[in-house]
Amino acid sequence: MTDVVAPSVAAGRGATDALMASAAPDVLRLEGVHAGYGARPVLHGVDLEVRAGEVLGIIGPNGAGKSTLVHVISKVLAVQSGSVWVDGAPLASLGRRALARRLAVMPQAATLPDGFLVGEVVRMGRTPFVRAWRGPSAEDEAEVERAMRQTGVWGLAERPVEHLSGGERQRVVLARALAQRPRVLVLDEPTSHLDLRYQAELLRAARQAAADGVGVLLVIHDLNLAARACDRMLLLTDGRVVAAGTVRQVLVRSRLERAYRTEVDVFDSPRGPTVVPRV
Amino acid sequence: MSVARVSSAGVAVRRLTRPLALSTLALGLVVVLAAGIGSVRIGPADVTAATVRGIEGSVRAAFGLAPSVPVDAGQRVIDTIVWQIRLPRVVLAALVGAALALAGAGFQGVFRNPLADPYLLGAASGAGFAAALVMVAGGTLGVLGAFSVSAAAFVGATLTVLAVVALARRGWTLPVVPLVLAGVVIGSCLAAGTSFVLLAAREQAAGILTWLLGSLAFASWDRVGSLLPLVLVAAAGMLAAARALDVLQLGELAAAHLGVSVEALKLGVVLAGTLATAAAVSVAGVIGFVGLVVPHAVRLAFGPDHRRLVPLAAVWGAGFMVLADLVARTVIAPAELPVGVVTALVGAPFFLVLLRRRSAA
Repeated sequence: MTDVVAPSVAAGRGATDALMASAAPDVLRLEGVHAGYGARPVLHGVDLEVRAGEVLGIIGPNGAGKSTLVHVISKVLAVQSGSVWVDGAPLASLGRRALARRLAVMPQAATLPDGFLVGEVVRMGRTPFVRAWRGPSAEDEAEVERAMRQTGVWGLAERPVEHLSGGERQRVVLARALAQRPRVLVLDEPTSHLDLRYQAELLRAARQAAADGVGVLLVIHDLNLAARACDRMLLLTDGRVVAAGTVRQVLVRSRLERAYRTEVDVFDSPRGPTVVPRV
Repeated sequence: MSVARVSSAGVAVRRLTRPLALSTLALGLVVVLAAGIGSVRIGPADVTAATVRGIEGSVRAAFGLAPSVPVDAGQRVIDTIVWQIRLPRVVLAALVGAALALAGAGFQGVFRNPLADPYLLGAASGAGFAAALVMVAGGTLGVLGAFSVSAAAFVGATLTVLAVVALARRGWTLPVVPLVLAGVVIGSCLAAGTSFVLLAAREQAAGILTWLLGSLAFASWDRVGSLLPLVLVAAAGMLAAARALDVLQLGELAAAHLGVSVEALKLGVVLAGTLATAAAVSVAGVIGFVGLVVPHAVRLAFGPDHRRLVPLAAVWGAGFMVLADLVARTVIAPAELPVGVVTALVGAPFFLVLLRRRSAA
């Protein structure tokens, strides 16, 4: 089966929004990044940029280096060579608090500690702004409220986190990240373990953040969700960027078969390509 | 919702002021009560009056003024019992309880485990071994005199934890699992050493054992004075770390993403907790379960956020310890139970209930 391409059909949001976003400044830039754990190199010269107002999807097989990439960007893992800029500043020059004021991470499988209230957890997103010995300012409280309303968890403010459903928990974690008022939002597998409705809800919230001018880096396994949520995509394999571009440029059968080492079918539709592995 | 008020922007905030004020008031009542009970019963009004005169006398002495108006003989006896004998002991008990509960709250927060206690990193075994050695050697070390055992215990506890930290560290990071393992292993070694000392020096064994089980019988205003600054420093450190400890409950990675310097936080809390623990152990011996049970009970009653947990645990730890010591010195009067036995008798069942609840959950 060959790639099904339908050039006459208007491409989804990908092409138009990406063109608009190309005028925006980049809020995250990586150049020739090598990184790894001890003697085990994982990333081999990764280049990427995320512009304000766009969602960049990072896809790739297990072990391709997606999590390592998140660790590098969030300065949990040091780069071995290459450079990273966040909102124009070299990552190396940013302290933890300064970085957390520019970049928020919604971690994979986030834990929410029992006994804390939803409002308290979201307020933790203001940690990089709150001074020691002083409570949150009115501005902090306003940002917390804005983030909670945007993610639809405002009504849950006084609920203990252990009483939340899986979908509610993920929205609370996203609200905490948005409360940081970041320029860059990194979402690491935000939709795993969520049902269809919550997947859609969460990705809509991510798109809304982009529409508000945040640069969103979305690490995601589900290629079909990725196709619908991203403006641009980057295919990572064995620590290298093997394809980058619009959704239709990246989700190409031959590329995917090489990257994932399995046969796939790619069906196109007005809302973007759909990828199904052959079983 | 009674525990929460609504902040300026409408997000739930749990109150601190009222529970802290009420808890402190309750602590004050417990202190007055405990200072009144003993071989001679003294009413709360007399205890309060004697305390006020005691403070007045100390202030006058500090400023080189003459003692205030002489009081009648009966009053002088009450003043002596309250101010010279009972209050130092009650206040020391309160400080020891506060120190252990502070350390427990900090350790439970930093290890993200409600079953952590102040002795997790070997402070008790280190203090016990050092104290036992000094007692076998005759109980005094040169200029330290009567404070020799205390000083040895303080140094033993501190050095042990520092050794555990040094063993567990990987470069500039302090991974939690190796830290706990190193604490357990070094603690076991030192406990074995203490057992050996007990067997080898049978004549002093009873004295050493009494110290190990904890006692406040040697209380004095001097000891209160030596303990107070250390506890205050540890408490300030713990309070400064409270907000970051809350964030740490999200996990070390998530806390780092929110701008918390996780390694500095862990080291700071371990050091502050060790300071409090070593100070408590040095004046009162090894008193168990306070540092485990009190922070946990406070967490159940008032919620898990450390800005409330840390100060409330200190106040409740103080109150619990004053009551435990009251029981220890009155149930078999004129003899005394080791206060560690009392706290263990109350604490162990609580701990078991806790453990069963956790395994059921």
